[in-house]
Amino acid sequence: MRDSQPETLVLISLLDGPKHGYAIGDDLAMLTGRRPGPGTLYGAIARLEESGLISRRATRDRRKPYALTRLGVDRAGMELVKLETVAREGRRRLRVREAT
Amino acid sequence: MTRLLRVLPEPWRSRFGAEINDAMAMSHKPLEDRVDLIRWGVRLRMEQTARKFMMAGTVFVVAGALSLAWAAGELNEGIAEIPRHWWSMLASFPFAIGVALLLIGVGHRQQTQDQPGGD
Repeated sequence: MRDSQPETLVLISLLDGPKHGYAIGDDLAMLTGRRPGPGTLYGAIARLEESGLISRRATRDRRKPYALTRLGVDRAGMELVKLETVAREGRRRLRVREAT
Repeated sequence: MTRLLRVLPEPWRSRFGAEINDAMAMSHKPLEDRVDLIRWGVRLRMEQTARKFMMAGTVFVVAGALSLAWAAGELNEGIAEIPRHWWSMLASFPFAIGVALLLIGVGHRQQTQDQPGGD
């Protein structure tokens, strides 16, 4: 089963607006406590671009920001629902375990 | 840093090279980041190799299927008689090579898809 966590994190990072790659890395470091390596980060960005979930904005700046497409916003929503489901179930099992 | 970027295939190097250079220049864990970049580069190259094998395999399978169909048409008992003649067995080689290339390509692709995504 392929790990799609880096892609999910990039989608979540872009929910509050366009960012270039380094800023996405900063944001993920803040969210997860660990900055992704360049291969992990740009690999995820490349796959998301190829899937049409993010797009690169045209600017004069050398660092081009990435933004979510409409499809990307929908996918981010779906991934968050999955994460919430897993977290809720995990907390329930933890409560059961601590109660016994 | 430019030399390390060569681990990436050219399309990805021109697309992300400048950004990766900047990121590596500001990296607080340069060794880990270099390893991470090399892993991505190797994975991309394996995917490219898998695609080439699958394209070549498809061509060989189609050519092989056509040659087998021709051989079967020349024989009274059709496909069942193919193993009895050296020339009809020869016609089956492209098909066998094509299947082998496709299997290698699929295997490569499966390997790259099953690898963890990194951090």
